[in-house]
Amino acid sequence: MMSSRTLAVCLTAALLLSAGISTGAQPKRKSPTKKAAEAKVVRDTHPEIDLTGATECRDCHRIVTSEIHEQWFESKHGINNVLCVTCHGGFDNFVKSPPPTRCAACHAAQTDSLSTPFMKGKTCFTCHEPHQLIPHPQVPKPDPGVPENTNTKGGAQ
Amino acid sequence: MTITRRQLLESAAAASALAALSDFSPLFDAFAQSPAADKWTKSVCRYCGTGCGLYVGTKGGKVVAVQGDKDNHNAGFLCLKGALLPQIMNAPDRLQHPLIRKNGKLVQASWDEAMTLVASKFKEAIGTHGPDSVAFYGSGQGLTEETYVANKLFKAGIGTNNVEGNPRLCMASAAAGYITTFGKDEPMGLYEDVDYADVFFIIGSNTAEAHPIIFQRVVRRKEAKKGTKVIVLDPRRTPTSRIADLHITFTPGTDLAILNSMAHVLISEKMLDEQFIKDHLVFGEGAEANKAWEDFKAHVANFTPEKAALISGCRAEDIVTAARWFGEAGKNTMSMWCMGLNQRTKGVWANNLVHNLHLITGKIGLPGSTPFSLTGQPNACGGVRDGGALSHQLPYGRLVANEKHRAEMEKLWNVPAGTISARPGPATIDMFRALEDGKIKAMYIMCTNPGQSLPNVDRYRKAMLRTDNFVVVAEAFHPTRTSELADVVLPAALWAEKEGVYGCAERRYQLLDQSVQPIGEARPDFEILCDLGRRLGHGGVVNFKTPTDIWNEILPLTKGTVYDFTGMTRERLRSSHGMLWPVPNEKHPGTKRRYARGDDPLVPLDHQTRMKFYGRPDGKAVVWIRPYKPAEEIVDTEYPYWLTTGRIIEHWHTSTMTKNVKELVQAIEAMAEIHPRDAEKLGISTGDKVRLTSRRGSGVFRAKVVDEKSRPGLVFVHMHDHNRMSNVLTIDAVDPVSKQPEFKICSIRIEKA
Repeated sequence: MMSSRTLAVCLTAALLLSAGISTGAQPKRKSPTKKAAEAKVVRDTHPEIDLTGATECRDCHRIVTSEIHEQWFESKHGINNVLCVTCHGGFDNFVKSPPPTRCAACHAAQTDSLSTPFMKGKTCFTCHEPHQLIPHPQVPKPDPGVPENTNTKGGAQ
Repeated sequence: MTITRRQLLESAAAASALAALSDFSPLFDAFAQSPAADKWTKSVCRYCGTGCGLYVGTKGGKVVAVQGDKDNHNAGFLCLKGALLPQIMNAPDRLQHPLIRKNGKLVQASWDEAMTLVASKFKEAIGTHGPDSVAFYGSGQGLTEETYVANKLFKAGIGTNNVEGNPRLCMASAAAGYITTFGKDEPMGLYEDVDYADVFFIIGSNTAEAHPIIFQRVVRRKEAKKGTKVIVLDPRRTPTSRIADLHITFTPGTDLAILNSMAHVLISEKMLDEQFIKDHLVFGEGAEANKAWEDFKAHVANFTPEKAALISGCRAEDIVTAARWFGEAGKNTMSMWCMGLNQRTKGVWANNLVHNLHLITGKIGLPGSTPFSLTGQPNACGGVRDGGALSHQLPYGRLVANEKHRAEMEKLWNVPAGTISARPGPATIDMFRALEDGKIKAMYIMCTNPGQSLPNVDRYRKAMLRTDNFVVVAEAFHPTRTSELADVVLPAALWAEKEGVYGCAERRYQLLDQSVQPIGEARPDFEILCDLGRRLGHGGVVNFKTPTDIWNEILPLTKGTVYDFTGMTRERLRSSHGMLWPVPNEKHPGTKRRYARGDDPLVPLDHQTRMKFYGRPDGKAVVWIRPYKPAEEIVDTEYPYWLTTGRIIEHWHTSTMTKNVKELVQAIEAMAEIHPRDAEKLGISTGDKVRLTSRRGSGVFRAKVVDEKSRPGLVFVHMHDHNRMSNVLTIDAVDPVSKQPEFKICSIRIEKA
């Protein structure tokens, strides 16, 4: 189930985009054409935008959906450059709300847990605000400090 | 190791529950990664030298998913490229059949027809012009076993040392830096040092984009330990600088002055480990360790922060801060660098100067204190550097020029004395110049793309295009900017379609098991090479049936060398998540920190001091006196802007693989990244077309005006774009020691196009 916040954010984005907001020298607006209608997902999402020459989603989205961009930028994904395309797909296979399979390459244990009875019907975003994606609280690990420099059996495997 | 560890039926049930929600229903088709893999095979990421462990998920003989290996150093994480790997396997431009050039066009041929032609051309060249008229050009992308077969076939079969590869373009200066300072190649530290470091000194590396999983580990460390400092030295403002506590930009090529000045500050502020200096160090200039500590001190005394700041265009106080953080007593300092130091005509010196800082402060060989070179290709270390597959090398630290080493290898390879030529072959740039000159008549290029990746690339593309020579390209994809120039293109198996070993930046060797059958008629590279060997009459030299046969032949070659991994059997590799050499016996767990007493099995436990740099006969490391010299080509009135090239996170090397990924292809366009001040001066806005021209070539790119914090006067163009190649501009001048070209610095002019 999508959280109300997600929905609100997506709607905001959709409104902004449908208002045709475009900035700088990034992709220019154009009127919807037959070509756009034939194109794939993102082109359907953004019929008003000529994506020719666009390279990165965030070139526009840092402005048109600045709140979402900011949430992502300040998140673990943001600092580690897990870019928009990683979860949402690119211009040719864009999706608004990524299914959990999309998270499994790095978060398999978490996506697997969705199959437990408790998690039935839930997705990652039932609990985690998308874009912020605050991780599960963890038991703080003690600082490793400086261990002895005598590793005779520690192994390097 | 194949497992059926995930019964994802339940996940699939959850997925269909989601699909029932109208918002999700159209979504699943849009994803390349199906949740329903029925088999998982342990492997390693195909891309950079970080070497992240992963499992390949297959269904119905196709790769459908990957998942990070949580038991490996990457703790289950993959960067966005790695997470999207499945899409490369069945890309439309996978080459499925051999191709032969007929009447100027590459047309489909049978394997036998293609190999007969290759063998006849090689035989003809060798028969008429001798063994040195043929050459091999490989890469750090090939598996260890594949590179080994090529190296052995050419050096012990054909009898030429004309064996080179992409590592010459990538990390030759890092290798020569380690060898000159410590006597032997490869880092002494490991990724785990990140978890103990208090100070990170990142120079000439955009770690955040080029090595994202190592960067993530640095971020984790910074979050876990308050007060952790990150120093970044880079003329560009990159995502790496986001976590920097100090980012120093400087005129490209002047970091030698900054590094010498940091040594000056460490000495003048007495941030030294005098006992370590006394116990472990000797001093040298040029190629001889014939100087004293006093000489070194006198040398760096010339590099006051004020003088270095004047040379490099940074602030003197920033140099002092960097040195103070680096040298603070009781703190662990880890340096990391990559192409920014290596792809330089003074690359070996730059490497030596970083090592100097660690040596005089004793910040080495301790958890969190180490000079650590990052690696660009997944198996440059394991396959080429360690395996000795460059023109001056023989396997595992041996040298062509050393008569004893040649004799030793001839004995191990069971070939007659005198088989291995005493003449080292030309390094990469000279090798392609020999192709240009007509001295090399036939070249076999395997698993890399010099038609895009060489500097001053148009010059060498012409050499490959010559009709009077013969170029074979073994590649998984076609066309590439190299295969389009070839006389024969052989379809090679890709990554999960074959089995072999990769050795990443931290001496970790890992087995990639095969998960699927090769596409079409593609074959693993080792099989193609063995076939060629048989056709050339060297079947006895490369008589291998499986990659395991090759591995079993490699293990004893390392006995008695500093690499000794005789205990790293195929079975142990299969059941482990990588092992770090040395591994001298089958009970040995592997070595975390080399040269360190108590860690390294090659250092006696009763050694008097805490480290033994056994790569050198005196057991000591060399602190080198290295002057400041500028880049080969500096800006002038005709070419007033600096050009630097590099990588972005979405793509890898020449993008033959990553441009096939739907999520990544949109970022492929190389743009000319220009400082706002320069853009204003030139009247250029983002999206405008500009022509960049160097003394070697010219190209049109769209401009992208970047962060104010970048360096004015500097233009960046990434190297990945096959249509807009930054390398038409770059300079092919090389480091005199490592022979690595200066991709990172040349001068250009900018015009509106």
